[in-house]
Amino acid sequence: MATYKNPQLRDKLAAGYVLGTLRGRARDRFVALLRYDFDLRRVVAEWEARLTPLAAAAGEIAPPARVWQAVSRRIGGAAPGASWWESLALWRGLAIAGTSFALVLAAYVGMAPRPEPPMAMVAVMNDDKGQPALVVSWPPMKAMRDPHIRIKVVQEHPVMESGTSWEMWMLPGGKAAPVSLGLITTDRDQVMKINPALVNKMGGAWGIAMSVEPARGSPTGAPTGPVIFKGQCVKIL
Amino acid sequence: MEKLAAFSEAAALARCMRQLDAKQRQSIMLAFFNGLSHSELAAHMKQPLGTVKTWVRRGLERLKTCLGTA
Repeated sequence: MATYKNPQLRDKLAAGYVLGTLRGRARDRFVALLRYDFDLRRVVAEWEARLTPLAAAAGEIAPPARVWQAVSRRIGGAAPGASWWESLALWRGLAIAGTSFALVLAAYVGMAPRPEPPMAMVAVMNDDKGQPALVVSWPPMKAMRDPHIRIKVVQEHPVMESGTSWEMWMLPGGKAAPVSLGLITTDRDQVMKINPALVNKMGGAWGIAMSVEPARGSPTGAPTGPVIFKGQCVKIL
Repeated sequence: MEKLAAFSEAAALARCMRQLDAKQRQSIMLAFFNGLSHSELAAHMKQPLGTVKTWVRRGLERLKTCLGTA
């Protein structure tokens, strides 16, 4: 544009540019002009030399808060302390709480009962009609801290008469005598603890049987009442 | 020496600023330090826009002349 060649206008625009009164599109045009107008840059530099000492004379002053807020908006951040979300204490607290929770969880998982190892032996015990009544199974006995067998009820038990109990027997096979495992106390699925002295014999069990005995169990150490359920052991592990 | 030069430039500017009319000096200071535009200056000083623009322009011209002859 021809007007930009007018020295007075160039001087006036440069002064307004340095002073800050040149605004908006007029300033944009002027800045665009500066990019390739070397002489105009010289005029601007002269005005900067004239007016910059003003800044030195003023000393340092803190900018108004709205300046920082505007800058912060333009760079996409938030003003300091503006939000609880940015609180250092919050995130420190969450970090500590999270770590503590993880430690507690780790300890809990560590102390929780370990999953049951795979079963080593299974015996399906049938009633006198050949119908399955109980399923007895146990993991490798030597791997267990507390030797036990699992008893699952498949068929409803006959009524347990008062003054009687049901006793579980391990049948070693051959001509060896049955070994008492203990008394069943309920007709529900249950876990029966095994005398640690029997642990070594359980691996060689041939079968499992259940007999009706007096309330405190067989007085002789051998089955005395009728055997109502029995089944052969199957080694699966 | 740089400090001395800066000091003498500031002193020259201060001397020239004192030679301006009060309205010219005030409008230039407001624009420079407070970043006011012409229209903001007019509102702030309760004067017509054209009057304020003239104060700024005349003030800058006088500053330039004053500093040029110093």
